[in-house]
Amino acid sequence: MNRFKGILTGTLFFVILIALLAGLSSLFEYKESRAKTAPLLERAGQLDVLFLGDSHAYSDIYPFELWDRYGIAAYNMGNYNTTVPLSYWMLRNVLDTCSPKVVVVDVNLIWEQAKLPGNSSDVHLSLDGFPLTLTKLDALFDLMDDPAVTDNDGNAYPDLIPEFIFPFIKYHARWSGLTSDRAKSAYNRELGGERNLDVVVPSPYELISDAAPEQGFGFVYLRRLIQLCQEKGIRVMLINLPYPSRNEHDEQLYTNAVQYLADEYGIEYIDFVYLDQIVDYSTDCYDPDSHMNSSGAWKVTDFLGQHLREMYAVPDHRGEAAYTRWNSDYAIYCQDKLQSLREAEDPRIFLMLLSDPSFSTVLLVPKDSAVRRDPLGMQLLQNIGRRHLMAADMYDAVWSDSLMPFEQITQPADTACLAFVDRTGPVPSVQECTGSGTLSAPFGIISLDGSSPSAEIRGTQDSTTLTLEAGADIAAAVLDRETGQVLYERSLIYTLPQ
Amino acid sequence: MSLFQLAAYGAGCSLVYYLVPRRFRWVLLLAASLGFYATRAAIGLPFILLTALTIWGAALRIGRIHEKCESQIREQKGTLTPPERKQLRGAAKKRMRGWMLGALILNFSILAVLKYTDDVCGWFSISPLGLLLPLGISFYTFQSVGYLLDVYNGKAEPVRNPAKFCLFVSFFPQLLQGPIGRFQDLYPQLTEPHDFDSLSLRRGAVLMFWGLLKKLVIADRVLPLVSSVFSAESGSMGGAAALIGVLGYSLQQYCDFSGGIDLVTGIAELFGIRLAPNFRRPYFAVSLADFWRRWHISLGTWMRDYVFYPFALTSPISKLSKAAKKRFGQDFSRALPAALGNILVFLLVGIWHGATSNYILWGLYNGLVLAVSALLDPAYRHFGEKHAALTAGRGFHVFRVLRTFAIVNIGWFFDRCAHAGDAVRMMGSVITDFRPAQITWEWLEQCGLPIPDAIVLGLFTLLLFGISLACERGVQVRDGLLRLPLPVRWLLLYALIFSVVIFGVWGSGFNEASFIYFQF
Repeated sequence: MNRFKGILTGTLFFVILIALLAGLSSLFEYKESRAKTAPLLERAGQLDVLFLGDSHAYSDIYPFELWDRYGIAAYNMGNYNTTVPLSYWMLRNVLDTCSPKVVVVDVNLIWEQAKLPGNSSDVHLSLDGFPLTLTKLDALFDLMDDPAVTDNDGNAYPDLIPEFIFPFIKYHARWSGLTSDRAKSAYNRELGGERNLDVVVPSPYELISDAAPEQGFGFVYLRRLIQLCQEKGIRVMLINLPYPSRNEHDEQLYTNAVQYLADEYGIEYIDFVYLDQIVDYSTDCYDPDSHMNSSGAWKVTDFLGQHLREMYAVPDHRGEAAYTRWNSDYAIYCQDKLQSLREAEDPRIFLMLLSDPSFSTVLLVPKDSAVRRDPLGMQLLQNIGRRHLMAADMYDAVWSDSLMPFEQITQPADTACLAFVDRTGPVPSVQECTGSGTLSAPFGIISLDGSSPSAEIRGTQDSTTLTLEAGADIAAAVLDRETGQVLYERSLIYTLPQ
Repeated sequence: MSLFQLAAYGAGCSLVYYLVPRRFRWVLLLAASLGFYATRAAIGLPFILLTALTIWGAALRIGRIHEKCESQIREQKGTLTPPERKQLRGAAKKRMRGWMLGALILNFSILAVLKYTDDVCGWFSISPLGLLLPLGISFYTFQSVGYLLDVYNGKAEPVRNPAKFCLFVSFFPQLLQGPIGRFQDLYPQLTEPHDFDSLSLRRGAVLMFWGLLKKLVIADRVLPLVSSVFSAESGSMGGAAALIGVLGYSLQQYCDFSGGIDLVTGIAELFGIRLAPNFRRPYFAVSLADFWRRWHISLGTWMRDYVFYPFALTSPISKLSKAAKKRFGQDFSRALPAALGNILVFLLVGIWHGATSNYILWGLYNGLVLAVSALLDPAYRHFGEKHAALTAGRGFHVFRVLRTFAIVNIGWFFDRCAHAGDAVRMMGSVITDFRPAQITWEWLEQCGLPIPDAIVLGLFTLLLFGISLACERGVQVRDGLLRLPLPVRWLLLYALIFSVVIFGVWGSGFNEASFIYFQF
């Protein structure tokens, strides 16, 4: 009896201990990885397209835009510094529960010789969110098999395996910085993407045509990934997302070599670094030489959406009952985007965000507006109405005529004010835009007279008058693309950069 | 292998230990020990096996010589005259000494070559050779040699089973930091089967976590501060910083070493094995001699039994003592062998830590202070008798504790500084260049001890002090904890475990900035 009681008491002690440890582990965990992986695993059964890659993929592809315009059910698994071997194992983990039709792999980090990046925190971000399964253990023991490979802090990767199995080993040290906000669970509401909000002048870049012979783990695992997908009947598309490449690590030599590998397997490879007409680096760079901002990402995503629909016949799930949640989540996503517009203090970022294809825009720009004296400001204005015109040969893709070509903005010297209407959504959203001036172009430019210009925006259900506040350089109204309802309006002073 | 892994390994092995049949339990311990060694430092395995084999063989040979000699004397009891018996024993002793010295020289040579070659290279500005140092070589060599000397001196019977002796040499919890076990005490415990005892298991587990707390929460937390102070450029830190540095080092040294010992002692207790205590609250010592009876006790007693007494009883020292008696009196002559013995012992202890000038000076410093104390002992006793009321008071006791603490800390300057000159400079700065204004929260943060860490360090140091004080007053804290009502006991046990798990410095650490990619 005593022995039985002892066993029972001991067991209870350990059960409570494990429960407390599990609770603490969840509390202390750095939530970003789970925030990114949870929506993926929740939707695993519905996904047709998976995007893999490093921060380029993470930053440049917005799956909800694919959903909105093409009905493509996709998830962006890209993560910071995710090497190709790491992408391979992330895919292996997802394929336990997911059967995508197409896997799109960004090969930007193909030049990395090691299996893993130096920053082990990036590996945590990629892997922590996946449940502990045999596949995950396989991943850890394969990726961290070399004691000579260390992270930036000098820890040999094999020694870090325990903390990837039990991340609490790493995160317990957060105790001193754990605020209630940081302890809360997080959830990526962008289907894995991340919007980058800045406008930066790009670095000079150069394109080279040479290719290096295959070397390093990147190519080894890219081959494994392709073979794995082909075994499972999944189509693979390779991409190298756009950025002003300075070829700092000879990366172009390796990304060029990917074409030979793609040809060998009979798969497609699109190198956006060479397709530098898809984005416009002057308005679309988040940083000088690496990532696209939202404007660039919307263009890349739109291009990929059209391509996936036309070349890979990815189905359109809009309207299907099983996908109802995607629509409601997209609405939340749009609210988040509106919030970003509200919070944008830098006028250049504000103008960049107005190119959002989810909304229509009406702008009032007075004659003496400071934005007219800023070349980048003018480009950002022009960028608002830009859309791609896809040609049969993708390499002939060109810019659409902007709704606000430069000459039309800069030339009317006698025009007191310009009103600009972006009406390029699937359904003309603004039924009519009137002012005291005259409509000078069928798609959007109105010359306005008077000292306090305003424009009446008539939607399908209501009408609103957008008025330029005294002293402001721009007045903007963001409209619902379907109804023309004004969702947000704002007058702002455009401060010229020093 | 991290301390947690060691603890988990010990706990796992202990579970298996009680599942195997009683007669194979020592085999399980041997397998666990060799497995530990093979996975932790496989390259050192031949060295530990060589030591085990040579010491076992030599001891067995010594035992047989002794046995043969005694049996010869017994058989010829009526025929041998006392001088013949003496001659026989003398011849046997000579052969035994040959075996003993052979094994001793071989094993100490291995230790010396592997441990000190790089230090000696440093003396001559030669690039270090980077020889491998087998895990626990000092501990297992001293433990084995102790056994050999015990057999040679007739205090222990030689072990006939080489595998069992191998277990005595390689018992895995001891390999990291000791303690240096004594054959008579440890060997029977290792080879005899122990039955499952939940109390022993619980006591062991509590000690393990207490050791982990001392090591991971206190020692490793104060480490960056100590490293910053002692690695700072000369003159950049004032005396106040030096003082904080050496006090931090005191704390770090104690918690690191005694914490590790608590952990391995706790692991051994999981198997029902009681290791010899290695620390007994040394900072409550009232003299340096008392301190060394409380700090690294197993090394102290080893040195006492195998170096100090044999040295003090050698004929040259006896002659010197007699000569001193005529010139300086009886008290001095009695104290002289002890004084010289202390200098020798602590010189060796210094070298045991490393053959560099700072360790040698640290050893000599301790030896000289003890020698002077031994020589002045009659004067102390006289003072004590004359001022009995004063010396019996609590205040005087506290004074003696603080004085000893100060003496120990002066020694720590030599122990921690890479060069003796730096130690002297730092101690000098405490008197001539104190600069207390340098000590701010910002300074602490720059030294790797942010405010939250400093607060945690302070709180757990206070806890350690409180528990040590209670133990010093005879309170059995561990047993008391395990006798508390279940809810309170569990609450305290969870608090202990989670203090280690949350506040311990373990794992690769967390740096939020490393997660925020775009900030770079």
